[in-house]
Amino acid sequence: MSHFTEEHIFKYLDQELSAEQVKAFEEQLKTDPQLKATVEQLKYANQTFHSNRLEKAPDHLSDKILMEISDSSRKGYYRPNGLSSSSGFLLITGCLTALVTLLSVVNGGYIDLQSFMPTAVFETSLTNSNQFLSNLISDKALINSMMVIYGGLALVLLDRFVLNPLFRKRAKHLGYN
Amino acid sequence: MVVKSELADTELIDQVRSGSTRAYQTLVERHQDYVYTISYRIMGNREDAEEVSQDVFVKAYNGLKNFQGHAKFTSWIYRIAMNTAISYRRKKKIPLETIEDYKQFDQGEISNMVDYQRLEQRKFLQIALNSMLPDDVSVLTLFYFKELSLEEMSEITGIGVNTLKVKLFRARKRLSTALNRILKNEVNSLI
Repeated sequence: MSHFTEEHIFKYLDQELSAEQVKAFEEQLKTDPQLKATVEQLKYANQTFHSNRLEKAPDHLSDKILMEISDSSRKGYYRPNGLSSSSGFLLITGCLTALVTLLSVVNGGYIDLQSFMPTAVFETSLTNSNQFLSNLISDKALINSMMVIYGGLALVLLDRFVLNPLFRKRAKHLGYN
Repeated sequence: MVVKSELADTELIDQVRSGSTRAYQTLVERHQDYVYTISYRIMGNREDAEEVSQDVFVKAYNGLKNFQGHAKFTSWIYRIAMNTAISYRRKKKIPLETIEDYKQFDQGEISNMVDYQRLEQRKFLQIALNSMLPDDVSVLTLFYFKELSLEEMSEITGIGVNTLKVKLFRARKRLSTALNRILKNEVNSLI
């Protein structure tokens, strides 16, 4: 093919070439059957889409939309700025489950430092420098507190770096800008 | 409340926010062909396109409270239409219209040769689009509306301007190839 690229062809079809470029392009078309065939093919697609650029919506569409809006307003289905009843229920259940689990771990003491260490080591550690700290805070409470702090930190990180950007992106794409 | 159809979109939106559903009807009637076209091009059949269009306008109605007017209403609603249609198409296996469906559909519409040619074109176009990816179809549909700048299209699709140019270029080539293939098949079936 000639020195004209497909980009040139599209620019020619979109009438974005200068007068000089059009002249040169059309000269080339006369002598280059391959270029001519490509242009014809793209031109057909262009014209076909252009002449069918809009479809007519069904006549009753706006009535159906208005009816749906008035029905849903009456029934209170749509709460774009709030939570739906199902997602609200899930959220409350999730929060309660998380709270109960957290309280069970902290107060019930599922994690006991003694279960992680051989008794001798544990007893030795109690007699050494950790004794003061161990007396002050029980091992179980210490580890559980650390778990709560790590858990909280993990939630903050999850919210800041994953959930927040994700929901913002989704909201933007759905048009709630 | 009296709603004048020549009011700008922003004025109509203000009226809708004040509780006028008549104003929203005017907005719907003004933009329904565009929304329906986006939906139909992506969905590939009229029934689903209608359902999607309905969903789009209901979503838009509920989202109007959050619409801050940074973008044009058209860009905003086209974006909702595009995302809703693509999401529908991903969720369910959509039956795309075939040449046979068009033959049935065409019966009542053909009254002369021009109509026939126009319907043939429409048929080939939609069948070609049905063979393409929804992303390509939406980019092409927006491009041929001829009312949107590349920047607006970029805002609607969420694709950067330069990437969009390349995507558009490739989509137009794919469409041309698909149409050419369909035409060849049609010619072969006639011989």
